[in-house]
Parts: sequence; structure tokens; C-alpha cells
Amino acid sequence: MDDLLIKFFSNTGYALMDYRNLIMICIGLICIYLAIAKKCEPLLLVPIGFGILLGNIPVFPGFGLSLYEDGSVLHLLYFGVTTGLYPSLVFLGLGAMTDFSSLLRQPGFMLLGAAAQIGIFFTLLGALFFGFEPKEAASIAIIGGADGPTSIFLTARLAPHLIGPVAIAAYSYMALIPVIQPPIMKLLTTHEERLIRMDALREVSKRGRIIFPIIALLLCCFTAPASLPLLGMFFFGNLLKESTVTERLANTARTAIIDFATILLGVIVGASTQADRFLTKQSLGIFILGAIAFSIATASGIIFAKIMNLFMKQKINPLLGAAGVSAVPGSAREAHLMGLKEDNTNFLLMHAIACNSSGVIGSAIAAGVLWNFFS
Amino acid sequence: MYGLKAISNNNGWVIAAAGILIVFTCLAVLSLAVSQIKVIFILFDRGNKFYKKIKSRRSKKKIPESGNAAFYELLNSELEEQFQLFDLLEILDKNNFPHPYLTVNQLRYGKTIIPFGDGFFIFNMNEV
Repeated sequence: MDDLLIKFFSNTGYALMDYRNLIMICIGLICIYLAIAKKCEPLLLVPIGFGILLGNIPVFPGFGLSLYEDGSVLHLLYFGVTTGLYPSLVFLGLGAMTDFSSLLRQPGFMLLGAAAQIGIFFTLLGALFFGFEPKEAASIAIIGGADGPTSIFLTARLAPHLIGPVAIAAYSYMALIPVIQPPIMKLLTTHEERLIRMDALREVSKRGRIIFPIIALLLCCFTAPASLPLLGMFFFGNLLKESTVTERLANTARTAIIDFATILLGVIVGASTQADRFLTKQSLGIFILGAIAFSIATASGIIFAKIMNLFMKQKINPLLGAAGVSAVPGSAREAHLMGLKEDNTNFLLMHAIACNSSGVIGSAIAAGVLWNFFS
Repeated sequence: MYGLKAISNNNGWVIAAAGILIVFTCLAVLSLAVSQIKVIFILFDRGNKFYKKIKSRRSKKKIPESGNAAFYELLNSELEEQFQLFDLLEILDKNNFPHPYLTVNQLRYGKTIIPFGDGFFIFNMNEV
């Protein structure tokens, strides 16, 4: 009887736990607290926080319970992360939600979306400088795109062992946009620049909105075919929305499908942060480089907008450059709010959304390019 | 390996420069294409208008007024000597005559076509 009880106890989580599991469980609880009490990105942080709890309950190796053990349920669900299935489904839903009207009215703003991706490539150099392997460096660099699904997609392809830290870093910085971006915006712009008003936007025809996803798909994916799984689904979702004859499918994509993918992606990415894999020096490096990547991305968007102003008659408010990162709609909201702080009649939101949409396309192209170079 | 040597050994400089260039080129070309969409639509609309104009002209030319020589010539070329009203209707319909049933009625009551028996009709040569 005693032997049986001792054997049972030795297989419980209490006996197998070490201090690192406790740290991770605290991080998971903090995520859940921030999501529920502070309403901080709840759709992401609740699944991720719960996933962290799930992944850090110690289990006896060989029972087929851990995410990293073949045949476990979590391992089967992890398949959707490693193959890029969930990020692609998220992009399908995003496409069905995105309204490109503001971008079609101001196609020149696509350059701001491109400029914000400079952060990705600078961070690539930084990660190589600090001794990361090339594939790891590319996975860390993509955090600068401020796009969770894209970061997970690329990391799953190039450095699957880093999915946990890269995903947590990417989503953390997306949630921390209101903390990270405003100081950079203030530092790099003058009061007069922040007061620049943008022209009213013209109407866009229905035909224009229908044809855009087709043209964009062909142009982007012929140039960077590796971005096909993300951009293909993104533009397909958008065509479902804009064609108006597939409203039922578009509705499913922007509700059921994206919710399904977000739940599984969040929980499984959270569960992949097992203490022994997550609490390492490498993860600390990823968090630091991720923050640098995100900051450079914001700064490069703003600086590029200022450079464009040197050549353009109609000046651009440089705050819009910060919205070139693909954190939709967080960074657009920050640019808009900063503009409103300076002048409460200056509404930049629709212009910022245009930069934001192009940022999504830009970061997916950048991911495709990195995959192509390092695969 | 650390530092600038690690960047150079892994082609970091080239990859970063090429990556930035590709992303910029892709979005710049897309931006250019989007700004030219309206030009494509204008050309498309012009082509559409032109096509409709030609189509309407052609269809106008095709329909001879009933009672004209061209009208009888058309019927004569497409109908047998003895024909059923259904055949006549079909030809009128195929050639876009505006009111095929009224036209057939007019031909019957004006005795331009007369019954031949067994549901067949022939042209009344005295009237034509």
C-alpha cells in the first residue's frame, strides 16, 4: 500500500515540479490577470496564459502527455503550429476582416509599410552579431514585423525550437504598443510635424476593392513565392469579403475560422513554453532583440515619412510612419491618438489604417524573403 | 561566432540589403499598380460602351420591318414552302423581331399566310 502511494506521489506534478515551472506558472497567471483585469489584448493573452499553465504542469516523461512527446494530444495540436496551418487560417480571417479602402485611396502609403520592415533586417544583423545561428536570427528578426502569426509561421519553418519565446515576445510587444511606440514617436517628430493634417480621402469603387486582392496576390507572390501560405489566404479572405457574393463564406472566415485558429494557436504556443525550454539565456536575448526590432521598425517608418516629406508637395504626418508595422489596429490607434493629443481636430485614423494594412503585406513578404534565403 | 565577422560569414549584409530592396520593390510596384487601376477601368468602360454601340447598330440592321421586301426575303430563305406557325414564330424570335406573336397574327388575319391543311400554312402569293 505504502509503495503504491509513494509511486503515485512520485508521478504527480508536486513531486516533479522545480522552481522554473513555478516561475512560468506565475508568468501565465500574470498574462491571464492582464487580459481579464486590465483588458490587455484578452483574445490573445487568455489562451496564451492558460497555455503556459497547461505546458508547465510537470508530467512524467514517457506517459505521452507532454507537448513535445509523440502521440500526445497536445503534440497533435502542435502540428498546426509547426506546419503553419494556424497562422494561415488566422490570415484568412484577417483578410475577411480587412477593409483596404483607405489603402486604395492612398497607394503611396504602401512605402511606409515597406519602410517599417527595415527593422526586421536590422535586427537580423543584430542577432547574427550576438552569435545566433542564421535561421535563429531570421526568426528573431521577424518579431520586428509586430505580427504574431507571421512570426510563428517563419519560426516554425526555420527554428522550431524557438517558437515559444519568439511567439511570446511578438505578442507581448503587440500588447505593449501603447508603452513602446509613443516615446519613439515623440522623440523623432517635432510638434509642427505632428500637427500636419492629411487630405480627406476620396471614394473607392467596388470594382477597385474586388480587383485589389487579385492584383496584390499576383504581384506579391510572384516576387516572393514563399509568402504564399500567408498572403494567399489573406487576399483570398479579402476577395470573399469584397466580392459580396460569398458573404456567408466571408462571415465564417472572420468569425468561426479565425476564432478556432486563434484559440488553438494561443493555447498551443503558450503550452510550448515549457520551463526547461523557455527559461534560458537565449530567450532573454530574443526578448531584448525583439524589443530592439520593434523599436527600429517604428523609427524607420517615421524617418521614411520624413524623408518622403522632403520630396512631396502634400506633406505626410510622420506619425503615420509608426503605423507601418503590422500590429493591426494597435499601431494605427497609437498614431491617431498621438495626433489627437497635439490637435483634437486632427483625425489620422483612416490614413494610419492604410499604413497598417500595407505593414501586414510587407511583413508577410519579408517573412517569405527570409524563408527563401535561409531554407 | 560573434560580431561583424559573424554577419559577414553568414552573408548578413547582402541578405539584409536584398531583403529591404525586395520588400520595397514589391510594395512600390503594388502601389503603382493600384494607382493605375482607375486607368484600366476607364479603358474597360470605353471598350464596353463601344461594344454596346456596335451591338445595338448590328441588331438594328438585322430587323427588317414586317411587310418589307427584306422581311419576306428572310422568311422565304429560312422557311419551307409549307410550314407550321411554330416554325414561323421560331424564325421571328431568332431574328429579334420585336413582337413575334403579333406579327404572326397580323400575317394570318391579313391573309398573307393561309392554312394548307394538317396544321401547315403557305404564303398567299396574291397578297405577298
